[in-house]
Amino acid sequence: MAKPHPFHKRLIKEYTSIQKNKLPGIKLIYNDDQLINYIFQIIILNNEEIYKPDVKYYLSIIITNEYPVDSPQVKFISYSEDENTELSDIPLHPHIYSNGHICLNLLGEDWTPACSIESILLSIQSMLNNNQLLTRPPDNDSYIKHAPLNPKQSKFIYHDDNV
Amino acid sequence: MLNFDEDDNISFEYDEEEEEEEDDEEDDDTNIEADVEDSDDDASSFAFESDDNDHAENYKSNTTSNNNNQLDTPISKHLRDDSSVVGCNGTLYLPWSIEQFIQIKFLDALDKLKTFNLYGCSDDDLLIMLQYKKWQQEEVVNEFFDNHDKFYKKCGLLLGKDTNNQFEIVKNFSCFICCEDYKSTEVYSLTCNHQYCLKCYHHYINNEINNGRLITCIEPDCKFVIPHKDISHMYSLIESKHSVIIVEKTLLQNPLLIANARELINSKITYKWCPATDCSSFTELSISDVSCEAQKQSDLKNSNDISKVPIVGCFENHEFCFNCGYENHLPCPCWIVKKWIKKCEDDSETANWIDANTHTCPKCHTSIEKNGGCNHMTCRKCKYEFCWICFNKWSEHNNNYSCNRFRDDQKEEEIRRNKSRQTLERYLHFYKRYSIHETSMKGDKKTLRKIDEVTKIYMEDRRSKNEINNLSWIDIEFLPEAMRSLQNGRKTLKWTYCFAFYLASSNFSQIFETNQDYLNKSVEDLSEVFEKIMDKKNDDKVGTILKNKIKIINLSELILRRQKTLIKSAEENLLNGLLKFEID
Ligand SMILES: [Zn+2]
Ligand SMILES: [Zn+2]
Ligand SMILES: [Zn+2]
Ligand SMILES: [Zn+2]
Ligand SMILES: [Zn+2]
Ligand SMILES: [Zn+2]
Repeated sequence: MAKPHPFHKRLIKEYTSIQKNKLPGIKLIYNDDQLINYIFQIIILNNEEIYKPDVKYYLSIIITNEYPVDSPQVKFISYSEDENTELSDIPLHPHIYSNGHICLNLLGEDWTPACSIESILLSIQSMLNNNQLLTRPPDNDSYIKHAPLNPKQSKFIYHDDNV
Repeated sequence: MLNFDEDDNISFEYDEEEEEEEDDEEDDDTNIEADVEDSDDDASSFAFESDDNDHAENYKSNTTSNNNNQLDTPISKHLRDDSSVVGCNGTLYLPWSIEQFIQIKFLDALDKLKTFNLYGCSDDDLLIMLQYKKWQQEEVVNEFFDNHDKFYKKCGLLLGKDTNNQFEIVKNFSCFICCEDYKSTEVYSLTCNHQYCLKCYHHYINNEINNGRLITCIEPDCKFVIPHKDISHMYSLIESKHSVIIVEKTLLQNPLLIANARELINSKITYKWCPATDCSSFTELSISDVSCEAQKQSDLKNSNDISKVPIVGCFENHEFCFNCGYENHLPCPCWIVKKWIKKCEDDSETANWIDANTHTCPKCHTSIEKNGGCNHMTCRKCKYEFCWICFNKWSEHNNNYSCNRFRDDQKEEEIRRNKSRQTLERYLHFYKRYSIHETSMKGDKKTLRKIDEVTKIYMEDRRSKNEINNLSWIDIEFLPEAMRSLQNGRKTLKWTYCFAFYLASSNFSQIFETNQDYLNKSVEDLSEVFEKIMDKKNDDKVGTILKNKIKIINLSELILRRQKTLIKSAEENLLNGLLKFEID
């Protein structure tokens, strides 16, 4: 078995808290024993004009070895919970690229070790709840052409926050 | 090696005393220690109290005229002696240490800012403001008087109130970051009183430090900025965790200031880090016009004029090429070096079989390991003397040092048939010699370090017995010079194989090879003298040094002469087209 994460205690604590305080619209559907890999199902409840409330999106969160000093690797993925459903879409949003990468201050400059998986979930949920535009980022095409697999290796220039 | 010549200048040709490839830490330690001692005097700058700060005094001259553009002022103005150093090809440069840079660019700015008596600002505040304003103290003053309320806020400072930053030991503490429950632990908090354990804070700062920004409280959205002094203290605490005595870091050793300095240094093309491993100094090109310099550099790209290769030295006396950033690679022009390095990387697998350190004796096949630098080997078992490079009997090429040359004895036709094999063999011939001399440089260095130790111990011993007259420093003054000449000679020799690999054969290439042979011979001779002195069986090492004094001096001068001759003649013959490179 792999060596436990240096902040294993913290991961346990976060995990317990995620289990306990269920965030509306967010469901943990997968995690590994090490508490390093997570997949969350997200439905957007408060933005019916833009997102249908029955559409499920999936967010992958991978805890890096430097967590919590460094932010985790976070992206939307195409996923399906069983063979009969089709793969999910990546939500349309001016800060979300079609490959699932998210341009969000919290995951970069604004990250501090006091942020958590839950604060990421909340911040992404509010980003979707407040969205008014069904578009991709303006540089989507050029970005996905050269984007690394790991969004943490991208240097995002944060788009203005008032979208 | 460094200890002999503290007063030496860094200015002259081939005046380097250390090699790039550091395989051992020992010798550089001497230097570091010296630095630490120096900066201990500077504890004053940490406490911000006293003005009679050594470094400040030393570097401070003449700064007033450059207020507006502090970071862009030519540093020659700040250095102890105003003038640039001249490299062996006439390049003007200034060697820097990070400490000097921090002192002059940051701490002198702080001293100057202090004279403005900004109301209510502690030294901690001033440093934060300065870093916020990228060390332009004029801008700090302007913005302070413009709207100090706003400026304070922008810098994450608290106006009018005393700061309450605390390192304390707390009982029954649960850290929100690591989620450990401590019975008792050290925590840090800023005025906001957001407490986190010291380990987490240290972790956090370590991660933030390289992005060049001021570092705020861990709590998201809390804008309080951690003062430099606290960062110094935190690192001191963490680093001396297991010892009773806490060695406080001075501001010259402040991790945030060092990171900030590194960033500024990286961002300017007139600065370049010394390529030697374990060397953290850098060199500034003394030029008046950057665009003119850019032109010069682009001219260098394909030029065979090796008199233009900008060889500079660093604060620790390592020589390197400012253009390509490699060690002093003369007689090779930069573009050949680039090609060679690339080739060596690409072919590293093919060349892997060359093990520069172990071979078997060509006569009795006993396995022999080479420790020193000298390539004249004597088998311990059968006493057969041979050349480590070509495996021939040593006596056979003592006068006619032909083991450097690559000769193909095959007939024309055969050559054509075996073209690719031929190319590979040719490459391996030169690569092997190149890498053996690289390894030998390390071997020489080990030997030289031991000699250095032995003489020092001897001198100490004499001194303690009051037998000072028996041997004085003057008697062994020739040693560092000789050591340097051996190291630099071997380095030039190493690069001659890169040169020769690309050289088109002609009558003049034979002259080059002859010069190479001469240099090779004198380098091996001196290397052997040193190695013999340090032979385990020799129990009067210092005596042998003195006995061989004349020989050592002569050989070292010979190396120097031959090295110069080789480079000079390569330079001339490349320029007049008598030597040509052949690139396929
Ligand atoms: Zn902690
Ligand atoms: Zn705070
Ligand atoms: Zn150096
Ligand atoms: Zn160069
Ligand atoms: Zn033998
Ligand atoms: Zn030989």
